[in-house]
Amino acid sequence: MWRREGERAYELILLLIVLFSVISFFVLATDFAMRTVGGQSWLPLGRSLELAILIAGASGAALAFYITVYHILSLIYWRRHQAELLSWRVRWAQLLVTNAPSLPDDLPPAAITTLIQFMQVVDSSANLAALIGDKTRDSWLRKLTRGSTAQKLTTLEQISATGLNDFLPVTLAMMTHPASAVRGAAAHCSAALVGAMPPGDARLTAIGQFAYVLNRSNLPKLIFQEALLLTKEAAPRLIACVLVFPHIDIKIAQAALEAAGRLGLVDLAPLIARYLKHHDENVRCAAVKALAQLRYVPPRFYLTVQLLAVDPHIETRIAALHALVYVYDPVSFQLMARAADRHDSRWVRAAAKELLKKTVGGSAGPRRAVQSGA
Amino acid sequence: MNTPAPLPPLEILLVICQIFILVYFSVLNLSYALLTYFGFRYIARFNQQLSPLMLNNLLQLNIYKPISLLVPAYNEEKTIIASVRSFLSLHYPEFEVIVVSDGSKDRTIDVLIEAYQLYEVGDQLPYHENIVCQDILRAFRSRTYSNLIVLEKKNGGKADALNAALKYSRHDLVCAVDADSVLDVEALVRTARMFVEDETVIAVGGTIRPLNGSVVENGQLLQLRLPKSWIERVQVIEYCRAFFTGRAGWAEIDAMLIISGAFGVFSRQAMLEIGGYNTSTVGEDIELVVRLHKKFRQAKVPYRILFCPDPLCWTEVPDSFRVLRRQRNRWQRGLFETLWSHRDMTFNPRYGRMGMISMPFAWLFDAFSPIIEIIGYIFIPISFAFGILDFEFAALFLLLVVIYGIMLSYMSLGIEVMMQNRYPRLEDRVTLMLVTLTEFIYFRQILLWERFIALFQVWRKRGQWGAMERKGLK
Repeated sequence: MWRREGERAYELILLLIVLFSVISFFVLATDFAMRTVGGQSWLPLGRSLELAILIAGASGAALAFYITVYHILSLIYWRRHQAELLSWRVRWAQLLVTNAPSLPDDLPPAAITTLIQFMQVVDSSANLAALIGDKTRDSWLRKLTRGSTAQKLTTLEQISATGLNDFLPVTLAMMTHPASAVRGAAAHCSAALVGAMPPGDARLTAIGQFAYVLNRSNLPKLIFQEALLLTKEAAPRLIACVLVFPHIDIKIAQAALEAAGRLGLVDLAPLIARYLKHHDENVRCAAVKALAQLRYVPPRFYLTVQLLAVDPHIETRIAALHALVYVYDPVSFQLMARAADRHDSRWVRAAAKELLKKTVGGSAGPRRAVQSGA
Repeated sequence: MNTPAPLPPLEILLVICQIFILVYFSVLNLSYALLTYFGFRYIARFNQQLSPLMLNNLLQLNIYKPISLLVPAYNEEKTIIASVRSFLSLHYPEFEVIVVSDGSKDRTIDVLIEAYQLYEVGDQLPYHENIVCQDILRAFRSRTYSNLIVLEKKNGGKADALNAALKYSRHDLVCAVDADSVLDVEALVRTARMFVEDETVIAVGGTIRPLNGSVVENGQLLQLRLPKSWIERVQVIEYCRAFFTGRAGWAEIDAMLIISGAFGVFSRQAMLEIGGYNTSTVGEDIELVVRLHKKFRQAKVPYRILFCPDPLCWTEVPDSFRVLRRQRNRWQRGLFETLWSHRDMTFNPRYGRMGMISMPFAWLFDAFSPIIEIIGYIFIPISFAFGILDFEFAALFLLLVVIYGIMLSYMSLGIEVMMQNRYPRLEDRVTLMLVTLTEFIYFRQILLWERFIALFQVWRKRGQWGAMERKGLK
């Protein structure tokens, strides 16, 4: 708070300096030009220059004063803030143990900060979350709807830390906010709230709503992925829900496929394999990479993965080589050997050689298939 | 009515010069003041975006873009072990360090082999064929660090060494760093995050701060202290101005021209598309950024080049005028070479703000400023001799130049206090403000003269670096 006030004051000082500088330099240049071309000036000689010096000097002195005072005051404020945090930590501990101290209706920022810190380390977070919800609901809603971008971001972070899922409709609505930073934070927050919900119908409904809004939120791929993973136990259901969308955003498809691979969701393998023939090369690549991470390729997609080993997209080819290890068919080994021998890309060749080194003598698929076939 | 007698041609010329210098000074200083204001807004907004707490939570999800660190080294035997250790201990889930010894004549390679148990890998490493560099003599991997690659190549200059590292880079992002720099442990986390949040970002420059006088242990900055000598302290203020006014200000209006060679993160794909670094210039960092702008503008592909205000990289700055002059000479030549080779972008609306604002500004206020300032210094006594300049006016004008310069430095120092607060002791702040008062006495004139000379050496010394002496981290 203090810092933000200090920044606002400094911004005003800078703006004033720019404005005064514009005025003083304009007066100086005009006066000088009129005087040197022999015309009359409205100021005595040197007066415009003295004005510019006065403004520059006063500005410099004001800045030096502000910097020094700000430095000293922020040190005092910081100490006071630390004391306030400590006092609130004690109050929360007392509340947990004895349920004794009464609380003001409007909690100060230090109280909320310490309470959230408490919730991250103390087990009884549901009670604390309910408490924080009662005390701050109106203030948070006000900040989310009418606050500045900074306030919105801070509030979303606080809500996600508390896991108060009755804020979910608001946070879902904010996932289509014009500012991408707010959209991203709202997606993170919504994901955390969905992840904090107990299993049941309410969570299923929330997952459906979240998936629908996520598909329309136009976020970067990795932010999508973060949002999917932040839902924790709800992630498999959410990813499945996203992958069956008829008109899926390409970035969210990639994110969902990568998340499925990362989480090892083998049950989703048939769903993932449906994307192996996707028209977008990055989606194809993400799908085959996910199967390689799952260490499982559904048998009816063996041929598709083998075809991807000669895909025009180099990254897809490399990912397909990794997946071929789990395609138990002699052709897979031949494809790998061919890629290692005379493929056009050095990167594909290096990947194939590395994989062959790992598979030869090991228990992995193609080698075993060749051996058993032989 | 008396009409004034017409002025002789020489005096008319002097009068025109006077007006030009005054207008030049006014526009230059107003631009700097405005850029500082923009820089402040940029940094304030940046600080509001993502809290460290949230960033840590997100990092636990292990979602990231892997990074290849490109580390060119030439005769760095004193510093290379500590530097590589610092790079290897960065907080980041997946990265590789590619050190390139660019024909070093000292024991750079030997000390690396000993310290990191390197073994030769022959021609096993895959590489990108469209990147050209001098012959690679030997390639090594480390037995102790699987993410360390060392290349030994024929000497070809810094840009060529960076190209060699780029050629062997495996990851989506590449980070060019100087071998003598110390990176903040969070440097990669902070910059890579900017690529995650906006997919159109192709490059991010970081803030560089002087390291001299600070305590460094195991390649990590333990305690930041002000340097002892005056020349190093003045450079602390210079770096504040350059990054908080220059880089941040230009980043606010999406027209950043420079990413410092000491620390910059780039999309590898974008780098490969433009063929890597240009080896024929000493300003390979600025040239690369200009070429990226050019390429993406021509292709009409949306892109962004951003600045990360967090102090990410600490570097040893020259502690003698001899080395400092050599460095500034090189910077000036690099700037001029780049502007000249991309002169078609200047005042070309096809290149947007780059062509219409950044490039003309760089020509007028960076490349040619030494000539104009030197003319200004010569011009004052001549005009005085011809009786067309009032002595009092000239003295007051010089005073204005100095005071306005001090004020601009204070504006940048204020941003440092508000946003970064890396020098927490009040006496350090006061010292920096006092040093600012003295910068205009000797330091500025010496460097001005060096930059002036550099302009006449651009063609003769094309591509020449000049030695930078390293003391080694203490």
